[in-house]
Amino acid sequence: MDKNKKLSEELLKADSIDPANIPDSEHKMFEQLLDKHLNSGKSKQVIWRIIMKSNISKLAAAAVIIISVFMGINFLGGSSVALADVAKKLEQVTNGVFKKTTTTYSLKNNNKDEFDSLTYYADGVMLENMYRDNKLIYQVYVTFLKGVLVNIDHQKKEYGKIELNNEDIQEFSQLSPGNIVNLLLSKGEYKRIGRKAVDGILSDGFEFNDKRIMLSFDKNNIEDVTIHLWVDVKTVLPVRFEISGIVQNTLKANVIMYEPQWNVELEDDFFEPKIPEDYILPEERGYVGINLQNWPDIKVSPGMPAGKAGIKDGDIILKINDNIITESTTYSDAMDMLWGKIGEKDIIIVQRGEQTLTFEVEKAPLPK
Amino acid sequence: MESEKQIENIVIRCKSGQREAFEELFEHYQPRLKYYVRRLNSNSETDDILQDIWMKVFRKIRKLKDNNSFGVWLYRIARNEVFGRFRKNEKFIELPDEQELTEHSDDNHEFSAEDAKHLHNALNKIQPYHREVLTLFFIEQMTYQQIAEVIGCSIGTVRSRIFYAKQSLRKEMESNNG
Repeated sequence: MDKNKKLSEELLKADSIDPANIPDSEHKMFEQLLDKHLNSGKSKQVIWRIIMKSNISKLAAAAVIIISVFMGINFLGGSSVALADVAKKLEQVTNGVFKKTTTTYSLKNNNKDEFDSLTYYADGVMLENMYRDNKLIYQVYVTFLKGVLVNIDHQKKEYGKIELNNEDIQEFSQLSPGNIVNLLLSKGEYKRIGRKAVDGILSDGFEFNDKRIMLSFDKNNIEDVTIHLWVDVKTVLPVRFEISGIVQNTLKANVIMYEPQWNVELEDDFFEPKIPEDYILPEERGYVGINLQNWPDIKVSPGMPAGKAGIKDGDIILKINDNIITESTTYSDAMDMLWGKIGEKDIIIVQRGEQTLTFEVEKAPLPK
Repeated sequence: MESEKQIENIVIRCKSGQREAFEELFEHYQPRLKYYVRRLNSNSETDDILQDIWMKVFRKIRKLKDNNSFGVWLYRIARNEVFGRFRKNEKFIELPDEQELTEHSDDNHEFSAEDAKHLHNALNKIQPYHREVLTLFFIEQMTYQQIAEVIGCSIGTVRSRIFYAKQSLRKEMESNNG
Protein backbone atom coordinates (compact mmCIF):
# COMPACT_ATOMS: atom_id res chain seq x y z
CA MET A 1 0.00 0.00 0.00
CA ASP A 2 1.16 3.49 -0.71
CA LYS A 3 2.89 4.80 2.41
CA ASN A 4 0.89 8.02 2.38
CA LYS A 5 -2.36 6.09 2.39
CA LYS A 6 -1.01 3.92 5.14
CA LEU A 7 -0.25 6.99 7.25
CA SER A 8 -3.73 8.29 6.55
CA GLU A 9 -5.28 5.05 7.75
CA GLU A 10 -3.13 4.93 10.87
CA LEU A 11 -4.08 8.49 11.75
CA LEU A 12 -7.73 7.55 11.55
CA LYS A 13 -7.14 4.57 13.79
CA ALA A 14 -5.34 6.81 16.28
CA ASP A 15 -8.58 8.77 16.47
CA SER A 16 -10.61 5.57 16.92
CA ILE A 17 -11.98 5.79 13.39
CA ASP A 18 -12.01 2.56 11.44
CA PRO A 19 -10.95 3.51 7.91
CA ALA A 20 -12.64 0.46 6.42
CA ASN A 21 -15.87 0.20 8.40
CA ILE A 22 -18.33 2.93 9.14
CA PRO A 23 -20.41 2.44 12.30
CA ASP A 24 -24.03 1.39 11.86
CA SER A 25 -25.23 4.56 13.54
CA GLU A 26 -23.54 6.69 10.90
CA HIS A 27 -24.88 4.51 8.13
CA LYS A 28 -28.35 4.88 9.56
CA MET A 29 -27.98 8.64 9.81
CA PHE A 30 -26.87 8.82 6.22
CA GLU A 31 -29.66 6.60 4.93
CA GLN A 32 -32.24 8.71 6.73
CA LEU A 33 -30.81 11.88 5.24
CA LEU A 34 -30.73 10.35 1.80
CA ASP A 35 -34.30 9.13 2.12
CA LYS A 36 -35.40 12.57 3.18
CA HIS A 37 -33.60 14.18 0.29
CA LEU A 38 -34.79 11.79 -2.38
CA ASN A 39 -38.35 11.83 -1.10
CA SER A 40 -38.52 15.59 -0.83
CA GLY A 41 -39.43 15.67 -4.52
CA LYS A 42 -43.02 14.82 -3.63
CA SER A 43 -43.64 18.30 -2.36
CA LYS A 44 -42.25 19.80 -5.50
CA GLN A 45 -45.14 18.76 -7.66
CA VAL A 46 -47.29 21.75 -7.22
CA ILE A 47 -50.16 23.44 -8.79
CA TRP A 48 -49.03 26.90 -9.67
CA ARG A 49 -50.44 29.83 -11.41
CA ILE A 50 -49.45 33.08 -12.84
CA ILE A 51 -51.14 36.07 -11.40
CA MET A 52 -50.63 38.99 -13.66
CA LYS A 53 -51.36 42.01 -11.61
CA SER A 54 -50.12 44.40 -14.23
CA ASN A 55 -51.47 44.70 -17.72
CA ILE A 56 -49.02 42.77 -19.75
CA SER A 57 -51.20 43.61 -22.68
CA LYS A 58 -54.68 44.98 -23.16
CA LEU A 59 -56.06 41.53 -23.80
CA ALA A 60 -54.28 39.78 -20.99
CA ALA A 61 -55.20 42.34 -18.33
CA ALA A 62 -57.91 40.23 -16.77
CA ALA A 63 -56.41 36.84 -17.53
CA VAL A 64 -55.60 34.54 -14.68
CA ILE A 65 -54.18 31.43 -16.16
CA ILE A 66 -54.33 28.43 -13.97
CA ILE A 67 -51.71 25.84 -14.64
CA SER A 68 -52.45 22.56 -13.06
CA VAL A 69 -50.21 19.72 -12.18
CA PHE A 70 -47.87 19.70 -15.13
CA MET A 71 -44.98 18.55 -13.11
CA GLY A 72 -46.61 16.05 -10.88
CA ILE A 73 -49.93 14.98 -12.19
CA ASN A 74 -51.00 11.62 -10.90
CA PHE A 75 -54.03 10.36 -12.58
CA LEU A 76 -55.58 7.05 -12.03
CA GLY A 77 -56.28 5.30 -15.18
CA GLY A 78 -56.61 2.01 -16.82
CA SER A 79 -53.10 1.20 -15.72
CA SER A 80 -52.01 1.86 -12.18
CA VAL A 81 -48.49 1.08 -13.30
CA ALA A 82 -48.43 4.27 -15.33
CA LEU A 83 -49.40 6.32 -12.33
CA ALA A 84 -46.83 4.71 -10.10
CA ASP A 85 -44.13 5.04 -12.72
CA VAL A 86 -44.78 8.71 -13.31
CA ALA A 87 -44.87 9.42 -9.60
CA LYS A 88 -41.70 7.44 -9.02
CA LYS A 89 -39.90 9.26 -11.80
CA LEU A 90 -41.02 12.65 -10.60
CA GLU A 91 -39.90 11.89 -7.05
CA GLN A 92 -36.34 12.09 -8.31
CA VAL A 93 -36.89 15.44 -9.89
CA THR A 94 -35.48 18.30 -7.87
CA ASN A 95 -36.25 20.98 -10.39
CA GLY A 96 -37.51 21.51 -13.87
CA VAL A 97 -37.70 24.12 -16.57
CA PHE A 98 -40.04 24.24 -19.50
CA LYS A 99 -41.07 26.52 -22.30
CA LYS A 100 -44.51 27.96 -22.38
CA THR A 101 -46.58 29.85 -24.88
CA THR A 102 -49.64 31.73 -23.70
CA THR A 103 -52.15 32.93 -26.25
CA THR A 104 -55.23 34.93 -25.48
CA TYR A 105 -58.08 35.88 -27.77
CA SER A 106 -60.61 38.52 -26.96
CA LEU A 107 -64.11 37.15 -27.39
CA LYS A 108 -65.34 40.61 -28.27
CA ASN A 109 -63.07 41.54 -31.12
CA ASN A 110 -60.95 38.41 -31.57
CA ASN A 111 -57.76 40.37 -30.95
CA LYS A 112 -54.92 38.03 -30.24
CA ASP A 113 -52.02 38.40 -27.89
CA GLU A 114 -49.23 35.99 -27.31
CA PHE A 115 -46.10 35.74 -25.26
CA ASP A 116 -43.52 33.11 -24.53
CA SER A 117 -42.04 32.22 -21.21
CA LEU A 118 -39.53 30.04 -19.53
CA THR A 119 -40.78 28.60 -16.28
CA TYR A 120 -38.54 27.18 -13.60
CA TYR A 121 -39.74 25.33 -10.57
CA ALA A 122 -38.09 23.68 -7.57
CA ASP A 123 -38.97 22.80 -4.02
CA GLY A 124 -41.71 25.25 -3.08
CA VAL A 125 -40.60 27.94 -5.50
CA MET A 126 -41.28 29.02 -9.03
CA LEU A 127 -39.97 31.60 -11.46
CA GLU A 128 -41.57 32.53 -14.72
CA ASN A 129 -39.71 34.75 -17.20
CA MET A 130 -41.94 36.19 -19.89
CA TYR A 131 -40.67 37.36 -23.24
CA ARG A 132 -42.03 39.27 -26.15
CA ASP A 133 -39.99 39.57 -29.31
CA ASN A 134 -37.23 37.76 -27.45
CA LYS A 135 -37.03 40.50 -24.87
CA LEU A 136 -37.60 39.80 -21.19
CA ILE A 137 -40.60 41.87 -20.24
CA TYR A 138 -41.97 40.39 -17.05
CA GLN A 139 -41.01 38.10 -14.23
CA VAL A 140 -42.99 36.34 -11.54
CA TYR A 141 -41.30 34.79 -8.52
CA VAL A 142 -43.42 32.64 -6.23
CA THR A 143 -42.44 31.14 -2.90
CA PHE A 144 -45.36 28.90 -2.07
CA LEU A 145 -44.55 28.05 1.51
CA LYS A 146 -44.09 31.69 2.47
CA GLY A 147 -47.08 32.64 0.39
CA VAL A 148 -45.29 35.44 -1.39
CA LEU A 149 -45.37 36.44 -5.03
CA VAL A 150 -43.08 39.10 -6.47
CA ASN A 151 -43.66 40.44 -9.95
CA ILE A 152 -41.26 42.58 -11.92
CA ASP A 153 -42.38 44.56 -14.94
CA HIS A 154 -39.33 45.38 -17.02
CA GLN A 155 -41.28 47.53 -19.43
CA LYS A 156 -42.57 49.83 -16.73
CA LYS A 157 -39.58 49.37 -14.41
CA GLU A 158 -41.99 48.53 -11.65
CA TYR A 159 -42.27 45.69 -9.20
CA GLY A 160 -44.84 44.44 -6.78
CA LYS A 161 -45.19 42.01 -3.93
CA ILE A 162 -48.34 40.04 -3.29
CA GLU A 163 -49.08 37.91 -0.29
CA LEU A 164 -51.10 34.86 -1.13
CA ASN A 165 -54.06 34.34 1.11
CA ASN A 166 -54.29 31.55 3.64
CA GLU A 167 -56.55 29.52 1.44
CA ASP A 168 -54.05 29.53 -1.40
CA ILE A 169 -51.17 28.74 0.92
CA GLN A 170 -53.14 25.91 2.45
CA GLU A 171 -53.93 24.51 -0.96
CA PHE A 172 -50.32 24.71 -2.05
CA SER A 173 -49.08 23.04 1.07
CA GLN A 174 -51.42 20.10 0.54
CA LEU A 175 -50.22 19.42 -2.91
CA SER A 176 -48.56 16.08 -2.91
CA PRO A 177 -49.01 13.44 -5.57
CA GLY A 178 -51.32 11.45 -3.36
CA ASN A 179 -53.56 14.40 -2.63
CA ILE A 180 -53.64 15.40 -6.27
CA VAL A 181 -54.74 11.90 -7.20
CA ASN A 182 -57.57 12.09 -4.68
CA LEU A 183 -58.47 15.52 -5.94
CA LEU A 184 -58.71 14.29 -9.49
CA LEU A 185 -60.61 11.17 -8.51
CA SER A 186 -63.07 13.00 -6.35
CA LYS A 187 -63.66 15.91 -8.61
CA GLY A 188 -63.28 14.93 -12.17
CA GLU A 189 -63.02 12.40 -14.86
CA TYR A 190 -60.50 11.96 -17.54
CA LYS A 191 -60.15 9.96 -20.70
CA ARG A 192 -57.31 8.65 -22.78
CA ILE A 193 -56.97 10.39 -26.09
CA GLY A 194 -54.58 8.05 -27.81
CA ARG A 195 -50.96 7.71 -28.64
CA LYS A 196 -49.01 9.88 -31.03
CA ALA A 197 -45.70 11.61 -31.56
CA VAL A 198 -45.66 14.86 -29.61
CA ASP A 199 -42.70 17.14 -30.23
CA GLY A 200 -41.09 14.11 -31.84
CA ILE A 201 -41.66 11.87 -28.82
CA LEU A 202 -44.08 8.95 -28.80
CA SER A 203 -46.58 9.83 -26.10
CA ASP A 204 -49.82 8.76 -24.50
CA GLY A 205 -52.43 11.46 -24.09
CA PHE A 206 -54.97 12.15 -21.38
CA GLU A 207 -57.77 14.68 -21.32
CA PHE A 208 -59.30 16.36 -18.28
CA ASN A 209 -62.28 18.67 -18.45
CA ASP A 210 -63.21 19.38 -14.90
CA LYS A 211 -62.29 22.92 -13.94
CA ARG A 212 -62.44 21.97 -10.28
CA ILE A 213 -58.91 20.71 -10.55
CA MET A 214 -58.03 24.36 -10.77
CA LEU A 215 -57.26 26.45 -7.75
CA SER A 216 -60.15 27.60 -5.69
CA PHE A 217 -60.69 31.26 -6.22
CA ASP A 218 -60.17 31.07 -9.95
CA LYS A 219 -62.67 28.32 -10.54
CA ASN A 220 -65.54 30.75 -10.70
CA ASN A 221 -63.89 32.73 -13.45
CA ILE A 222 -62.98 29.90 -15.73
CA GLU A 223 -65.25 27.88 -18.00
CA ASP A 224 -64.93 25.29 -20.76
CA VAL A 225 -61.69 23.94 -19.47
CA THR A 226 -59.84 21.36 -21.49
CA ILE A 227 -56.53 19.94 -20.38
CA HIS A 228 -54.39 17.59 -22.39
CA LEU A 229 -51.41 15.90 -20.82
CA TRP A 230 -48.96 13.98 -22.97
CA VAL A 231 -46.62 11.50 -21.33
CA ASP A 232 -43.53 10.04 -22.95
CA VAL A 233 -44.22 6.34 -23.42
CA LYS A 234 -40.57 5.48 -22.87
CA THR A 235 -39.55 7.68 -19.94
CA VAL A 236 -43.05 8.04 -18.42
CA LEU A 237 -42.41 11.72 -17.86
CA PRO A 238 -44.63 14.55 -19.08
CA VAL A 239 -43.63 16.06 -22.39
CA ARG A 240 -46.43 18.47 -23.13
CA PHE A 241 -49.28 20.05 -21.30
CA GLU A 242 -52.04 22.02 -22.97
CA ILE A 243 -54.79 23.88 -21.27
CA SER A 244 -57.53 26.04 -22.67
CA GLY A 245 -60.40 27.82 -21.09
CA ILE A 246 -62.63 30.86 -21.10
CA VAL A 247 -61.64 33.44 -18.51
CA GLN A 248 -64.24 35.80 -17.09
CA ASN A 249 -66.38 35.24 -20.19
CA THR A 250 -64.23 37.70 -22.09
CA LEU A 251 -61.07 35.94 -22.98
CA LYS A 252 -60.17 32.60 -24.45
CA ALA A 253 -56.80 31.50 -23.22
CA ASN A 254 -54.54 28.72 -24.42
CA VAL A 255 -51.44 27.71 -22.60
CA ILE A 256 -48.96 25.16 -23.87
CA MET A 257 -46.07 23.92 -21.82
CA TYR A 258 -43.50 21.90 -23.65
CA GLU A 259 -39.88 20.77 -23.95
CA PRO A 260 -39.35 20.18 -20.24
CA GLN A 261 -35.88 19.68 -18.82
CA TRP A 262 -35.35 18.10 -15.46
CA ASN A 263 -32.74 18.54 -12.73
CA VAL A 264 -31.01 21.47 -14.33
CA GLU A 265 -28.15 23.37 -12.75
CA LEU A 266 -29.37 26.51 -11.07
CA GLU A 267 -27.54 29.01 -8.89
CA ASP A 268 -28.31 28.99 -5.19
CA ASP A 269 -30.11 32.31 -5.33
CA PHE A 270 -31.88 31.62 -8.60
CA PHE A 271 -35.34 31.88 -7.10
CA GLU A 272 -34.67 35.03 -5.14
CA PRO A 273 -36.27 38.05 -6.81
CA LYS A 274 -33.68 40.32 -8.36
CA ILE A 275 -35.23 43.75 -8.53
CA PRO A 276 -33.11 46.39 -10.26
CA GLU A 277 -32.28 49.24 -7.92
CA ASP A 278 -34.05 51.87 -9.94
CA TYR A 279 -37.34 50.00 -10.18
CA ILE A 280 -40.23 51.32 -8.15
CA LEU A 281 -43.54 50.19 -6.76
CA PRO A 282 -46.50 51.18 -8.93
CA GLU A 283 -47.79 53.56 -6.26
CA GLU A 284 -44.44 55.36 -6.20
CA ARG A 285 -44.55 56.20 -9.87
CA GLY A 286 -45.10 59.78 -10.80
CA TYR A 287 -46.40 61.27 -14.03
CA VAL A 288 -46.07 64.63 -15.70
CA GLY A 289 -49.29 64.18 -17.64
CA ILE A 290 -48.12 64.24 -21.26
CA ASN A 291 -49.77 61.76 -23.58
CA LEU A 292 -47.13 60.40 -25.96
CA GLN A 293 -49.28 57.96 -27.91
CA ASN A 294 -48.93 59.95 -31.12
CA TRP A 295 -45.31 60.79 -30.58
CA PRO A 296 -43.71 63.14 -31.50
CA ASP A 297 -47.06 64.95 -31.27
CA ILE A 298 -48.04 65.43 -27.67
CA LYS A 299 -51.26 65.96 -25.84
CA VAL A 300 -51.45 67.33 -22.35
CA SER A 301 -53.69 65.59 -19.82
CA PRO A 302 -56.02 68.00 -18.05
CA GLY A 303 -55.34 68.64 -14.41
CA MET A 304 -51.87 67.11 -14.53
CA PRO A 305 -48.53 68.80 -13.78
CA ALA A 306 -47.44 69.42 -17.39
CA GLY A 307 -50.65 71.27 -18.19
CA LYS A 308 -50.55 73.18 -14.93
CA ALA A 309 -46.97 74.23 -15.64
CA GLY A 310 -48.04 75.67 -18.99
CA ILE A 311 -47.20 73.02 -21.57
CA LYS A 312 -49.87 72.86 -24.28
CA ASP A 313 -51.10 70.44 -26.91
CA GLY A 314 -48.99 70.68 -30.04
CA ASP A 315 -45.84 71.89 -28.29
CA ILE A 316 -42.77 70.24 -29.77
CA ILE A 317 -40.55 68.79 -27.09
CA LEU A 318 -36.90 69.70 -27.67
CA LYS A 319 -35.29 68.47 -24.49
CA ILE A 320 -36.23 66.49 -21.39
CA ASN A 321 -33.71 67.10 -18.61
CA ASP A 322 -30.33 66.29 -20.20
CA ASN A 323 -31.84 64.44 -23.13
CA ILE A 324 -32.01 66.26 -26.44
CA ILE A 325 -34.88 65.08 -28.62
CA THR A 326 -33.94 64.22 -32.16
CA GLU A 327 -35.68 62.64 -35.11
CA SER A 328 -34.53 59.25 -33.95
CA THR A 329 -36.00 59.63 -30.47
CA THR A 330 -38.80 57.11 -30.20
CA TYR A 331 -41.94 56.98 -28.15
CA SER A 332 -40.24 54.44 -25.84
CA ASP A 333 -37.24 56.71 -25.44
CA ALA A 334 -39.47 59.58 -24.45
CA MET A 335 -41.35 57.37 -22.01
CA ASP A 336 -38.05 56.36 -20.42
CA MET A 337 -36.98 59.98 -20.14
CA LEU A 338 -40.15 60.88 -18.30
CA TRP A 339 -40.17 57.79 -16.07
CA GLY A 340 -39.68 58.48 -12.39
CA LYS A 341 -41.05 58.81 -8.89
CA ILE A 342 -43.66 61.11 -7.46
CA GLY A 343 -42.06 64.40 -6.53
CA GLU A 344 -39.19 64.25 -9.01
CA LYS A 345 -38.84 67.34 -11.18
CA ASP A 346 -38.26 67.39 -14.91
CA ILE A 347 -37.03 70.28 -16.98
CA ILE A 348 -38.87 70.19 -20.29
CA ILE A 349 -37.97 72.56 -23.14
CA VAL A 350 -40.49 72.95 -25.95
CA GLN A 351 -40.84 74.79 -29.23
CA ARG A 352 -44.09 76.70 -29.59
CA GLY A 353 -44.24 78.56 -32.86
CA GLU A 354 -41.25 80.92 -32.82
CA GLN A 355 -40.74 80.59 -29.07
CA THR A 356 -38.55 78.24 -27.09
CA LEU A 357 -40.02 77.74 -23.65
CA THR A 358 -38.67 76.03 -20.53
CA PHE A 359 -40.87 74.41 -17.91
CA GLU A 360 -40.15 72.73 -14.61
CA VAL A 361 -42.67 69.97 -13.99
CA GLU A 362 -43.00 68.00 -10.79
CA LYS A 363 -44.27 64.44 -11.19
CA ALA A 364 -47.54 63.62 -9.50
CA PRO A 365 -49.54 60.43 -8.96
CA LEU A 366 -52.22 59.57 -11.46
CA PRO A 367 -55.55 61.01 -10.44
CA LYS A 368 -57.85 58.41 -8.86
CA MET B 1 -9.71 3.06 -2.10
CA GLU B 2 -11.34 4.46 -5.17
CA SER B 3 -9.24 6.08 -7.85
CA GLU B 4 -9.91 9.59 -9.10
CA LYS B 5 -11.55 8.24 -12.22
CA GLN B 6 -13.81 6.02 -10.18
CA ILE B 7 -14.82 8.96 -8.02
CA GLU B 8 -15.60 10.96 -11.12
CA ASN B 9 -17.88 8.19 -12.35
CA ILE B 10 -19.58 7.95 -8.99
CA VAL B 11 -20.23 11.69 -9.00
CA ILE B 12 -21.76 11.49 -12.46
CA ARG B 13 -24.07 8.77 -11.24
CA CYS B 14 -25.00 10.84 -8.21
CA LYS B 15 -26.00 13.67 -10.49
CA SER B 16 -28.39 11.37 -12.26
CA GLY B 17 -29.99 10.58 -8.90
CA GLN B 18 -28.65 7.10 -8.27
CA ARG B 19 -28.98 6.29 -4.61
CA GLU B 20 -26.23 3.72 -4.67
CA ALA B 21 -23.79 6.29 -5.97
CA PHE B 22 -24.41 8.56 -2.98
CA GLU B 23 -23.82 5.61 -0.71
CA GLU B 24 -20.54 4.87 -2.41
CA LEU B 25 -19.39 8.46 -1.90
CA PHE B 26 -20.31 8.22 1.74
CA GLU B 27 -18.39 4.98 2.16
CA HIS B 28 -15.36 6.52 0.53
CA TYR B 29 -15.19 9.86 2.31
CA GLN B 30 -16.95 9.58 5.64
CA PRO B 31 -14.05 8.30 7.82
CA ARG B 32 -11.60 10.92 6.62
CA LEU B 33 -14.21 13.65 6.60
CA LYS B 34 -14.99 12.82 10.18
CA TYR B 35 -11.30 13.08 11.07
CA TYR B 36 -11.07 16.46 9.40
CA VAL B 37 -14.17 17.84 11.09
CA ARG B 38 -12.92 16.67 14.47
CA ARG B 39 -9.62 18.46 13.90
CA LEU B 40 -11.40 21.72 13.19
CA ASN B 41 -14.05 21.38 15.83
CA SER B 42 -13.18 19.97 19.19
CA ASN B 43 -16.60 19.73 20.72
CA SER B 44 -19.32 17.18 20.34
CA GLU B 45 -21.05 18.67 17.32
CA THR B 46 -19.19 16.47 14.85
CA ASP B 47 -22.17 14.24 14.02
CA ASP B 48 -24.44 17.23 13.47
CA ILE B 49 -21.86 18.89 11.28
CA LEU B 50 -21.37 15.75 9.20
CA GLN B 51 -25.11 15.49 8.68
CA ASP B 52 -25.29 19.07 7.47
CA ILE B 53 -22.34 18.50 5.17
CA TRP B 54 -23.96 15.52 3.49
CA MET B 55 -27.28 17.31 3.16
CA LYS B 56 -25.50 20.12 1.35
CA VAL B 57 -23.78 17.59 -0.88
CA PHE B 58 -27.16 16.10 -1.83
CA ARG B 59 -28.62 19.48 -2.63
CA LYS B 60 -25.71 20.95 -4.50
CA ILE B 61 -23.98 18.11 -6.27
CA ARG B 62 -25.76 18.78 -9.53
CA LYS B 63 -24.20 22.20 -9.58
CA LEU B 64 -20.68 20.81 -9.35
CA LYS B 65 -19.12 21.71 -12.65
CA ASP B 66 -15.94 19.67 -12.47
CA ASN B 67 -16.66 16.10 -11.45
CA ASN B 68 -12.95 15.58 -10.93
CA SER B 69 -12.85 18.08 -8.12
CA PHE B 70 -15.47 16.50 -5.88
CA GLY B 71 -13.01 15.96 -3.03
CA VAL B 72 -11.96 19.61 -2.95
CA TRP B 73 -15.58 20.67 -3.22
CA LEU B 74 -16.61 18.38 -0.39
CA TYR B 75 -13.97 19.71 1.95
CA ARG B 76 -14.87 23.27 1.06
CA ILE B 77 -18.41 22.53 2.15
CA ALA B 78 -17.09 20.89 5.32
CA ARG B 79 -14.89 23.85 6.10
CA ASN B 80 -17.67 26.35 5.50
CA GLU B 81 -19.98 24.32 7.68
CA VAL B 82 -17.54 24.20 10.58
CA PHE B 83 -16.52 27.84 10.33
CA GLY B 84 -20.12 28.87 9.92
CA ARG B 85 -20.82 27.40 13.31
CA PHE B 86 -17.75 29.06 14.74
CA ARG B 87 -18.98 32.44 13.57
CA LYS B 88 -22.38 31.87 15.07
CA ASN B 89 -20.84 30.86 18.37
CA GLU B 90 -18.26 33.62 18.17
CA LYS B 91 -15.49 31.08 18.15
CA PHE B 92 -14.07 32.06 14.83
CA ILE B 93 -10.35 32.41 14.94
CA GLU B 94 -8.76 34.87 12.60
CA LEU B 95 -6.04 33.35 10.48
CA PRO B 96 -2.69 35.05 10.72
CA ASP B 97 -1.12 36.85 7.80
CA GLU B 98 1.76 34.62 6.83
CA GLN B 99 4.48 35.61 4.52
CA GLU B 100 4.95 33.30 1.62
CA LEU B 101 8.25 31.45 1.55
CA THR B 102 10.70 32.74 -0.97
CA GLU B 103 12.54 29.48 -1.07
CA HIS B 104 11.06 26.20 -2.11
CA SER B 105 10.07 24.29 0.96
CA ASP B 106 10.65 20.65 1.58
CA ASP B 107 7.65 18.94 0.05
CA ASN B 108 8.44 15.42 1.19
CA HIS B 109 6.68 14.67 4.39
CA GLU B 110 8.94 13.01 6.86
CA PHE B 111 6.27 11.19 8.76
CA SER B 112 5.57 7.51 8.48
CA ALA B 113 2.73 5.28 9.53
CA GLU B 114 4.70 4.30 12.61
CA ASP B 115 4.54 7.94 13.71
CA ALA B 116 0.78 8.02 13.38
CA LYS B 117 -0.14 7.90 17.03
CA HIS B 118 2.35 10.54 18.10
CA LEU B 119 1.53 12.57 15.06
CA HIS B 120 -2.16 12.45 15.85
CA ASN B 121 -1.58 13.62 19.42
CA ALA B 122 0.72 16.39 18.31
CA LEU B 123 -1.70 17.46 15.60
CA ASN B 124 -4.28 18.23 18.23
CA LYS B 125 -1.90 20.54 20.01
CA ILE B 126 -0.71 22.79 17.21
CA GLN B 127 -2.46 25.90 16.00
CA PRO B 128 -5.81 25.28 14.24
CA TYR B 129 -4.71 26.84 10.95
CA HIS B 130 -1.68 24.57 10.89
CA ARG B 131 -3.70 21.59 11.94
CA GLU B 132 -6.11 22.13 9.10
CA VAL B 133 -3.61 22.15 6.27
CA LEU B 134 -1.73 19.18 7.66
CA THR B 135 -4.92 17.21 8.05
CA LEU B 136 -5.83 17.77 4.42
CA PHE B 137 -2.27 16.95 3.46
CA PHE B 138 -2.02 13.72 5.45
CA ILE B 139 -5.56 12.42 5.36
CA GLU B 140 -6.54 13.11 1.77
CA GLN B 141 -3.04 13.45 0.33
CA MET B 142 -4.18 16.68 -1.25
CA THR B 143 -1.81 18.65 -3.39
CA TYR B 144 -0.92 22.21 -2.47
CA GLN B 145 -3.22 23.38 -5.24
CA GLN B 146 -6.10 21.39 -3.87
CA ILE B 147 -5.50 22.60 -0.33
CA ALA B 148 -5.38 26.15 -1.61
CA GLU B 149 -8.76 25.65 -3.24
CA VAL B 150 -10.25 24.23 -0.08
CA ILE B 151 -9.09 26.98 2.23
CA GLY B 152 -9.28 29.75 -0.34
CA CYS B 153 -5.75 31.05 -0.51
CA SER B 154 -2.73 30.99 -2.77
CA ILE B 155 -0.48 28.01 -3.29
CA GLY B 156 2.34 30.04 -1.83
CA THR B 157 0.42 30.52 1.37
CA VAL B 158 -0.32 26.82 1.54
CA ARG B 159 3.32 26.01 0.97
CA SER B 160 4.48 28.26 3.76
CA ARG B 161 1.73 27.20 6.07
CA ILE B 162 2.59 23.54 5.63
CA PHE B 163 6.24 24.30 6.13
CA TYR B 164 5.63 26.06 9.42
CA ALA B 165 2.96 23.55 10.38
CA LYS B 166 5.40 20.68 10.03
CA GLN B 167 7.96 22.58 12.07
CA SER B 168 5.39 23.10 14.76
CA LEU B 169 4.30 19.49 14.60
CA ARG B 170 7.85 18.21 14.81
CA LYS B 171 8.54 20.41 17.78
CA GLU B 172 5.43 19.13 19.52
CA MET B 173 6.31 15.53 18.81
CA GLU B 174 9.83 16.05 20.12
CA SER B 175 8.57 17.66 23.26
CA ASN B 176 6.50 14.59 23.95
CA ASN B 177 9.56 12.34 23.80
CA GLY B 178 11.48 11.65 26.96
